[in-house]
Parts: sequence; C-alpha cells; structure tokens
Amino acid sequence: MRRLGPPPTAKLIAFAILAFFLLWWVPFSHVLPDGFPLRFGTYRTFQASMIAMWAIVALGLNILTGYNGQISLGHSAFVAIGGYTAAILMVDYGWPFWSTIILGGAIAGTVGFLIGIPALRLTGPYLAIATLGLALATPQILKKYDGLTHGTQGINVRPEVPAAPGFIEDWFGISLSNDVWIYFLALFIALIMTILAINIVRSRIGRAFVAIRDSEIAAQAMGISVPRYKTMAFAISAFYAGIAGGTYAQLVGYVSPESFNFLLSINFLTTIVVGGLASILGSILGATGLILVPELPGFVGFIPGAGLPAELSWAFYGGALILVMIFAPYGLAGLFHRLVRLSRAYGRRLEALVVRSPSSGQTGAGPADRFPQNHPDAER
Amino acid sequence: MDEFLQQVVTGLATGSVYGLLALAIVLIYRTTNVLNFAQGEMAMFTTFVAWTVLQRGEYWLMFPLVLLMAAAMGGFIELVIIRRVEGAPVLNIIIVTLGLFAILNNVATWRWGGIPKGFPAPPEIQVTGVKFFGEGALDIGPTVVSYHDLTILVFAVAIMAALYLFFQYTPLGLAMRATAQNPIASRLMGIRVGRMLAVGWALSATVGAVAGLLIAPLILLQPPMMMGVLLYAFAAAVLGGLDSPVGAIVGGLIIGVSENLVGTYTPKEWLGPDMKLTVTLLIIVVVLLIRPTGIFGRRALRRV
Amino acid sequence: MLKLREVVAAYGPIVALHGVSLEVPEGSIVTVLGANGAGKSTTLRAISGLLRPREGSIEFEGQRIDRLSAEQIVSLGMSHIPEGRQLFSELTVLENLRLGAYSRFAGMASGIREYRQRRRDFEAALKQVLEYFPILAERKNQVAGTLSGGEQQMLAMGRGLMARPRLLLLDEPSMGLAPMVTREIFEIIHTINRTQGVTILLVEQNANLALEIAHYGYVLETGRIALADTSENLRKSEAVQRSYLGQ
Repeated sequence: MRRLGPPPTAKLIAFAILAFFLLWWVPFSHVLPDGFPLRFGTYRTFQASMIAMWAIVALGLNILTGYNGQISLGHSAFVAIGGYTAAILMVDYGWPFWSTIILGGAIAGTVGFLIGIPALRLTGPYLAIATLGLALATPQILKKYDGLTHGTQGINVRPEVPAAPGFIEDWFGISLSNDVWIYFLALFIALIMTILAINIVRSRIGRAFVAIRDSEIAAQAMGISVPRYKTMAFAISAFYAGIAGGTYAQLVGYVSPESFNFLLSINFLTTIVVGGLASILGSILGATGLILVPELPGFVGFIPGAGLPAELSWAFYGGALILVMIFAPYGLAGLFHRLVRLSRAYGRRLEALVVRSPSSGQTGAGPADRFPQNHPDAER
Repeated sequence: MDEFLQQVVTGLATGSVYGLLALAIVLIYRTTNVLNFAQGEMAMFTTFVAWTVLQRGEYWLMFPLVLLMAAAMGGFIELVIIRRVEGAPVLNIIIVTLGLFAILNNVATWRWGGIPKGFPAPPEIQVTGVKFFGEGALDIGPTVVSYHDLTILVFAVAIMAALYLFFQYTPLGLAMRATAQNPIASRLMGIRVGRMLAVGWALSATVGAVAGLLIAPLILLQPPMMMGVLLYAFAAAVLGGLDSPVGAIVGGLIIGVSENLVGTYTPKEWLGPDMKLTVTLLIIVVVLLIRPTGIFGRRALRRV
Repeated sequence: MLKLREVVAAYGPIVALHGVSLEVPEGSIVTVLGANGAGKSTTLRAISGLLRPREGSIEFEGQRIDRLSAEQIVSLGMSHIPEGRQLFSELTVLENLRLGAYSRFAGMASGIREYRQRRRDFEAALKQVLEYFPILAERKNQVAGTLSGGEQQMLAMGRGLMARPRLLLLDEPSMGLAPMVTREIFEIIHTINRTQGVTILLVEQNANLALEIAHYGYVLETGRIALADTSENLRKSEAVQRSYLGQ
C-alpha cells in the first residue's frame, strides 16, 4: 500500500486525465433523456461541486490529522478566512476571482502556521478543544468587526462571479452557464490539490509527518525537526481549507458568519474519519459521503418496509455513523482496500484452480500488513 | 465594587452548572480516554424522561428514579455501543459519540419536541434548619443569590468531593483509574475491564442527569438546551485538566465568572459582551499554553 | 502444575506458535530461552489469557484454562509479570501493590469478619513483599513512573506477588537493567522459589543467568520447541553454548 517516493509524473497526469474524463459530463448529462440513471440535473451538478470543495478541505485536514496526528476541530475558521478574503476582495476591491482564491488560501495558510505554533504545546484532546474554541470564536469575530466583514448580513458575491471567462467561448466555441463553469473550476482546483496532496504525502515531508505522528520522540531522535513539520502541517491544511473557502465564495455566492460555525468543523472531522484517516482516497470518499448521505433516508424509502419517518433521519445518520465505525474502523477507504485484497486473493485462487500449478499458498496478507496494536485478533 | 461582586457571584452560579457537566465529561475521559460529545444530549434525554415521570409523581420521588435510570442508560450505552469500538483509535470513538448525539437529539425532538416546556426547580427541603433549593434569594453582603443557584453550587462541590474521595480511596475507584491507564495490566490484576468501563459511563450519565435536572429550571426544557452548555463544559473540563474532577468544577467556575467580567468590563467597541465567548476561550488557550494539560491535569508522563 | 499441549497461537494472519508443548512441574523454576521473535512472550500471553490459542490445550493444576479470560485466570493462583513491566506509571508504588492484590479482595466482603480477614491477608502479603524489596518501602508514595528501571522491575514483581500466586510467569525481567541489578533480581527470584515454593516460568534472553537458577529449560525457535532438558544439560550442550551463551 505504501510506495516510496512520489509516483512518476506521467502517472499523475494520467490520473488527472482519467479523473477529468470520468467526470466531465456531469453537468452535461442533462441532455440525456429523463429518468436515465446517470442523468444529473443542475442540483446534482451543484452537489458535485460541493463534493469537490469539501474534498479539498478533507485532503488538507487529513494531512494534519491523519498523517500528522494533530486533531483540529477548528478548520471551519480557515475555510471562513478563505471565503471572506475572496468575498471581500471581489466585492469591495474588484479583484479577479482566481487571485482571490489563491490569496484566500495563502492568508489562511499563514494564519494556520501561526496557530500551529502554540499548538505545539498541546496534544490530543486539549488541542482538539482549543481548536474547537477557534471554531466557536470565528462567527463572533466575524460579526463583531463588521467594518471589514460586513457583519451579520454577510457578503453577497453573486453579481461579481464571472461567467465562464471569455477564452473558453473563443477556444471551444461553447458557452457555459455559471454553474457548469463553476463545476469545472471546482473540479480543476480539486484535481490540482489532490495531485499536490499525493506528492506531499509520498515525499520526505509526508514521511516526516507520519514519523512524528507515530512517535515524536523517535522522530526527533532521527533528526526530524518536530516543531518545523508540525507547524508546516498546520499551514498546509489551513491553506487547503482556505482554497476551499475561496471556492465556496464562488460556488455558493454568499458568505456569512453563520456559514462557518463549529458544526462545520465537526462535520469535517467526521468526513475524514469515516472516509479514512491518512488516506487520499479516504478524503475524497468521505467528502462524497458527507454530501450524499443525507439523501439516503429518502433513497432507502423506496425499499418497501424500510422507510423511516422523515423526522428520524438524523437518528438514522447517527446510527449509520456508529455502524460504520464498528464495521469499518479504517473508514470507507479501508473497506475499499479490503475489497481489493479480497478480490486479489479470490483471483489468485481462481488462477490456481485454472492453471493447476502448485501455488505458493500465500494469502493476501502482505508484509506485516500494518499490524496495528489493536488488531481485532490480537487480544481477547 | 458591589456590581463586581454581584457579577462574580452570578458567574459562580452559572459556572457551577458548566462544572457539573464538565464533571461528567471528566469521568468518562478518566475511565475511557474518550471525549464524549453526547454528554449533553444524554443529560437532556434523562431530563425529558424526568419530566414525563413528573407528570405522575412528585419531585423527590422522581429524583432517585431518574438517577438510577440514567446510570442504567450509561451502562447500557457502554455495553452495547462503545464496547464494540473498544481498542479502536480514539477518533473513531469520538465519531461514535457524535453519532449518539445525533440519535439522542433526534429521538428527543421527535418524542418531546415542539413547544419548550417548563421544568420545576427542586422544591425546598430543610436539613437541620438550613434551607436548600426552593424559592427566593439570599442576601450575602451586597450581593443577591437565589436559593436555587446557591444549591447548585453546593451540589457541584459536594459531588466533586465525593468523586474525588471515591477515586482516591476506594478499591473500585483505584481499579477504575488503573483501567484507564493500562487496560492490559489491569486485566492481569483480575480487574474486569469491561465492567469498569460500564461503571464509568454509568457514573458519568448519573452526574450528567443531575446537571440536567438542575439546569432545566433555569432555561426552558427543549431538545437543544444542552448544546451551548456542552461546549462550555468541554472548555471547563480542559481548563481544569481532563483527568481531574476538581479541575472540572474549578474550570467551570472560572469560565462562569470570567464570562461575566469580560462581558461587563471590557471596552464595548472592540470587545464587550459580543465577544465574551471569544475572550474567555482566549484565556483558556493562554492557560493551556502555560499548563498544557490543564490547571490540575496530570497526564504529562510518557515513556519512550 | 502447568501443561501446554500443541498450542498454536497467532496474531491475526501471523502465526507465532506452531504447536508448543511444555510442562512446568510444581515447585520448580522452568526457563524458556530463545532469540527475539521466537515466541517466548506469546507463550506467556497464551498461558495468562491475554491471547487465546487457536489450537491446543493449556492445563493449570489439572484444569483447562485456555478458554478462560485473563481476569479469571488470575484468580486461580497465577500471576503474569509482563514484558516491559506494564506498571501503572501514574499511580504510586503503594497503589500499584494494592492493585496486585485486587483479585484477592475484589467483590463485596460477606460481613465484617471476612473484611477484617482480607485486611490481614493484605497486610501480610504487603509485609512480605516489602521484605523482599525494601527499597519499595522507602518509595511507598512515589509515582511509579519516576522509579529507576531496577526499582520498577521490583515493583512489577512485588505487584505480581501480592496475589500470593502459586505460579509466577516472568517475562524478561532482565530487560533494560544493569548487570548488578539483574543479579539482585535473579537472586530474589531464586529465593521466592526456594522459601515459598512458588513455581516459576521464566522467559529470558539472558540465558546465562536464567540457566543458573532454573531446574529445567526449553529453547524456543520461531514458534517451536527446539530443545528441552534439565538446565545442567542445556548449559553443557554445544548448541546452546554457541547460540545463546556466547561461547
């Protein structure tokens, strides 16, 4: 599961092209006849854009919490910074959208770095609650300093959000509506951030993160500067959140203090844990789940007898969370990998049957398949 | 000066409420190393059950019944749900408590939702001429404290003392502390780890239930009622040290008082009451930087 | 007193013991030697109930214990002092010792008389442990994590003895300790066996010391018993001398 060194650039580009290929038709699928299974309307396109956006946050948060082991419940603050920076710059100062997103990310990243410094002193639950405090304080701060932030009424970005930039029409001869354009923008940004994340995670930096997570003392003994990398992790994850925030401003077109409350932070944490900690795939799956799961009760209702009274859909959500944690402790990504292993083992068995050669008799277990201390079979 | 004292006293009253819930949080953290995000909802749920019981019975009959029921609920949750994720990474367990939060909140809204209800304060009881609970207020010097608030404070301190003694000086308390620190070694001592965890949750649910019963008369009884308190309670628990019952109460009191003082005595234009939560949280962070495991917290030892 | 028959134990997909059989006669000191990863600790864990064997049987004083939980096994008169001591590092020395006796006075006493009897038993056990390890008496109220390595090992052993076990499972008591301290500890182990008749199953990497005090020995290699003999014969055997005694 873990290869050393970043994957060859060619592979990454291939991945990006593949992803784009799989997803480009989402906004266009409305040309398919109604009722066709893969037809997506404008709402679905919007949802897909949301998934892309939250995937960005999840990727960043996973780098901090999954790979580096620092729990943050405050990332809604960084998203807010990104969103508000973008909104203010666009509405009050007329900056072009792409620069506001980048600047939103940069400022969020810097603040993240600054937060990462005191965070060095705190661990585990103490860090979690301290960052929760950050998330709690954000709406208050946003409301209070309304000279800059327009206070409780928020900032309406809509009129400034450009339609698809001119060159697209010039080069490709198609005119895209706003939401389609934004979908592609979000997808594009998400792809870049994913590739960046893959690179970080497989580089020396990523390995340093993991070393620190597994044992700070050992990492220090190996010459890794713990403060440097821990603050770096904070900065990177905040940067991701800021970028997502800037994109949010585009996508939703409106930012207000209450859009970025602590519930958002908690949702982010749920996303990466359910999706899979320390896993790029997990971040993406988690974000997908976050957006799509609220739909599930309605979906389940189609199965006769399994419908739930609509008022209990949150209880259903809670129950689903618990079940996922019980049966998929490594998250959705863990399930995915388990499936892959099972199918490989199955494939090998089939092979052995067909080929009738004395097979090596190995099961799917790879070298010390991440024998965790709390493997279910290890202790009674 | 009078106003200052009054602010302090009112702050102590609110603070003891945070402290009680913080106590429940500390209990679970101490025994299972988990931050129970469902703590508030559990308390809210038991309070609603209490309300239902109150329709048919009188207060001091209801009280012990509800405490028992809360203990059963806590133990049940541990046995049936938390046990299944025992040994999983801490974050997983936290997510489970979040799931519990959603379930309890939703079920309560579905069953008792709608119009907020009033919940009675405990009726007055006289113990050797000293009045507890009941109506009215007491004059202490230049300040005024309601009997209800005063009794909450007394309750909070009393429960804290009882828990402290329990953990320090009884075999069961010792066994529970041991289980939290080193479950493997505990098993080798013959300690039934599962049982300890269930007891921890049961105790915590009971303390939470008391908190709920005492807070409900002050705010209306409705499903979202504990959510704000929960956040303050976490802050209090962390401030005082997550493994210290004393810290929980002290933390709560500090937060209660500082909130009031910040609200009243900071310049309105750029701080003031709008920012009292923020400033309070800032104070907590500063304290944590000086003492990273809280004022009374102890968990700093770690072997390589 | 203790019989293992064809015990197979595994951690998930990794099989650590491939059918281990051994016997520990009452009143003796038996040592299990082997290199790192040979399965020595796993053997002890299977015996004390921390790890459930996949196959095979374990009998203690005639009773099958391989299906019992660790908590139950402790109350049968067996104490496991695990690898790395596993002390309650934030509790005091005295509290650690109290916990050692937990299996003896857990549960409600049926009346004042039993309560008093238990107190007396506890005091007696404590007295004896403090006689073996006087340094612990000095450090009664000190937090266990602040003790030196040797003191921690003594505390771990003292804690194990508080339950007045008839069988003591010791996992690498010499680990991380200076030679002089190790000697001291081994002498105490020998004394416990001689004066109190406590049967001891000693897992060790330090073959020299172990064979000095043991009556019998087993050599474990990648989960299988490679040699089984009296300690004298083992000391003389060429194979052992080469691999484990550094001759």
